[in-house]
Amino acid sequence: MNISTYARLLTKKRKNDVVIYFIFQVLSIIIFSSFSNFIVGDYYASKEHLGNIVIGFSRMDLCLLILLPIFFLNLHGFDFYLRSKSEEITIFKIGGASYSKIIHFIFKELRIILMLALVIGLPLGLVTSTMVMSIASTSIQILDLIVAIPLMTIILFLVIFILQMLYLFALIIRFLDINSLSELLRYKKAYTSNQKDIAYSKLNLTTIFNVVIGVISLYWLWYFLMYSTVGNAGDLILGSAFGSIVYIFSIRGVVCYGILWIRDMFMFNKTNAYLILTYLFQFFIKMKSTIMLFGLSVFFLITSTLLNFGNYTEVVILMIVCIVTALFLFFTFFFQTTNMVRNQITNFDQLYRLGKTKKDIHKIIFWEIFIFCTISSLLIYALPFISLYKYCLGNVISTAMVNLITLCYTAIALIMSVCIYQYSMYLLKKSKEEV
Amino acid sequence: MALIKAVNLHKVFILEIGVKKETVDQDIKGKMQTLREYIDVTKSITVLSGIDFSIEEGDYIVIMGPSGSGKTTLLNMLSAIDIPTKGTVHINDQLTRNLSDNKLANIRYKYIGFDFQNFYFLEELSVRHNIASPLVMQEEDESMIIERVNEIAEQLGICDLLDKYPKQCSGGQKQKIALARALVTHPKIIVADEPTGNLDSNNANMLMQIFDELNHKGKTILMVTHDCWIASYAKKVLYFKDGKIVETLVRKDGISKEEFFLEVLDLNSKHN
Amino acid sequence: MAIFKVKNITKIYNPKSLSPTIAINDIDLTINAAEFVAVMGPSGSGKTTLLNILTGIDKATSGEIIIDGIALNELTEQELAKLRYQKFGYIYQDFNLVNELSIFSNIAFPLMLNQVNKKEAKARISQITKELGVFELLNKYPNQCSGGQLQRISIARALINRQNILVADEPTGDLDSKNSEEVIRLLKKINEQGVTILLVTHDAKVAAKASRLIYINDGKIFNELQKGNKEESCFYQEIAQMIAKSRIGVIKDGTN
Repeated sequence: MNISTYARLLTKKRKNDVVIYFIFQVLSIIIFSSFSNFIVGDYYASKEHLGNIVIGFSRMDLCLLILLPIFFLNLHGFDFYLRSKSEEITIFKIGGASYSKIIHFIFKELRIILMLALVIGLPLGLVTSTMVMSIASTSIQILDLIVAIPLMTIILFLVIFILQMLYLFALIIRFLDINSLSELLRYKKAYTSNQKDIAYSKLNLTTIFNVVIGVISLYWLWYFLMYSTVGNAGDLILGSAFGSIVYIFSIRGVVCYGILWIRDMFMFNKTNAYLILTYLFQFFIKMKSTIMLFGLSVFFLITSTLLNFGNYTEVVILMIVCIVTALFLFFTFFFQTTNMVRNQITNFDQLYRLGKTKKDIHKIIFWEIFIFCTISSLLIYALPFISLYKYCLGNVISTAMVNLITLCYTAIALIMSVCIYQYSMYLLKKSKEEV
Repeated sequence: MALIKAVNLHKVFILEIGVKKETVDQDIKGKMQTLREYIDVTKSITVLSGIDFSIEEGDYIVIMGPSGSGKTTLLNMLSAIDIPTKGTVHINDQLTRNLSDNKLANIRYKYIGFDFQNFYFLEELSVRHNIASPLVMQEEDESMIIERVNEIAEQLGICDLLDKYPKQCSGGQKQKIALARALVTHPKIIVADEPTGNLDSNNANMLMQIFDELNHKGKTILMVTHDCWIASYAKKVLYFKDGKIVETLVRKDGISKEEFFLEVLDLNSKHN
Repeated sequence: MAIFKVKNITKIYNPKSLSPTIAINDIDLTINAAEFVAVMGPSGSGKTTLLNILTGIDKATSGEIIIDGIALNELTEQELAKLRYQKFGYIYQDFNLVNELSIFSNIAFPLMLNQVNKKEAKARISQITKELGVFELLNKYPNQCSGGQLQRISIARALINRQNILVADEPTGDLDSKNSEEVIRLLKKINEQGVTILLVTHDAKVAAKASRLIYINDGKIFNELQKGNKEESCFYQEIAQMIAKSRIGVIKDGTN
């Protein structure tokens, strides 16, 4: 009976949270392994032989491309993981455990997960990296197609890993600091702050500002896509990233205000619609913009690269990137949304007591999730799709490719909403059993 | 030397700072109009105002009072969970005010055992692991931990539950497990917040008998409850209202439990 | 005229497990219109379960419940839900207001369910909130209001559909003494206007304001007291004595 046993037992039993965090870690490792060779290795003779994909990409750009998803994955994954631990932390704190003991315990748990993730992720990463390299070798002159792991890759991996650990450590400390024991013990319902909601619900300076910025950013992005040259991919990333930030923040404001405006029309007519829109508003307000941001940036990157469409094989590589990106977005989006639904569960009990049937409540949950997923997916994909289509007109293969990508994306979005709904139903059932 | 000594305790919770006041009214046409006044107001609640209190070893004290009077806050102050806004709390002659979170945790570990109304178990671990958790987190010697757990389980009569899970136990059993966890660190004082809150009358009486035995063996007990019958098991009852101790009732030698119960009832009705 | 007519209800949780919990054990109860009934009992005695069953939120394992002539067992889910916003008004210890909606929307919610038109809704809401003294809060959100205000808002919500049965589950539980007194005074006033009140509490002082007290212990009705023409303080003493004796175990059935 020691801390390690506890860590092991608790990891084994709390499957959901652990598995999600674990998958994220595995994905990070796979991405890293697949593309790290491009950053680090000297597999090509000279820049001219790089082919159209990596033309103009400096190593820093590729580095950014890989670090960004890893960083986001860990950020969301760990946040989710930590929040599910707050009850354990309360219990240990009551028993007299100090900060250092608790952190020690959390890291023991993390160690198990991370070791497993490494063990599974690295071999898988090697496989994908070989795939990527062999596809790339058809258009790029690869000097040494050895499935070897150069020293630099290992060093880079360790650096990223240590940075990640430091960041997690900081997150844990911050979490322990913010949640004092007396607050953790309060078993009365805590009302969360609604300041943002109030700001968005009126036609005031904030909303007008958001609309104006939204229009400007849309125009800016459009101009950028129309007239930019594919000279330096780094510029493209930066430009699209900046435009996306502005787009996200302002569009979100517009969407939120729009939702409330529509909601007020339903106020005394259809209570279901009224409630769905209320929860939808909550989703959009609380949704972390980083996901949308990230999704948009990567899609813009892919768009701008496809502008220089050439080789069939290059497209396949880009497809891999697309799919992997979609998988990230899927997971992050998935548990962000389920987290938000989880916070709404007490609400549903209140609704039942006020006079809504269980069927109605299920309907409300389904529609709020479905509409949220649809609108978010549209927001993320709309601009890249338009620019893709515009530039691929005339080229039959490219149009077909774009259609295929769109189809895959739609399918993933639909599957995601169904998954979130099923998981929410499961959460609802579980909470009723506990009561 | 008092085990816990509190002098001039105050606790203020700040809710909002700098609120602007809006008044809504209807004009002649019946339309809602909002008038805005900007007032600098700090909204705060003084939950405890000037408490002087001390607990000696071997005491059995119950704090009673209406809901919202600040009993739980007082308990939090006295058991190193929270720090007062003004005033001092000494636990075993150590001032809690300027201590870091770690040192407070240490005090909790050494002197205090907690028994709450809502058990706070780790559902994924067995009962044995739950009881042992304070010791395990301090990384004590394994054989010592196993011995202690068995000893406490025997004392409370829950040996057959040790390998089960909290979910499989009834309310009364769960309360015994929570008490076992509080006792496993051999604390000097047991702090209980409405321990019989979720129990039926039989289980409540059984639990109170265990507390009685513990007190006879020398453990100090500090309890909060709103139930007069439960309170009458104590040696001293403090009535708490709106942040102050309004009366202390001491059980005289020789009077029976029933008589003391009627005294406690009178105390309650007097202050209502 | 009887509003509640309850016969032989029993509620068992986990009937198939090794240790099933018998929350309600064969209770018979009749409550007449405009009565102010308080239900008391130690924790775990089944008070809240009884309340849930009487108002259709929970289903009894066996037994018959008739409310205003309507048998609950025969109603569909839809009709039961309708009952919840047309017949009953609820107030809870932790207020149970929807945090995401403004106070106005919270109070208007039963009206929305009842499909009242907007103009009339606004009129009704302003009238009732003015009476209760919370009119200024209509544009705010629950997290900006104090406990006493929130409970008054709950009362507004509970009566907005002109319901004639008010169900209160420990309404003074989270309030300080001043606000508690205010809420109880309001309930008394509402009862004088003809609303039947069913109140669950563990506080004898709150129960003393009622006209009838039912004491439940371990799922059974232990004793019933009527206020009659007594003074309130007299009734309170009677209640306190009864609780005392029930704990000491002198009384086994309902005789004094």
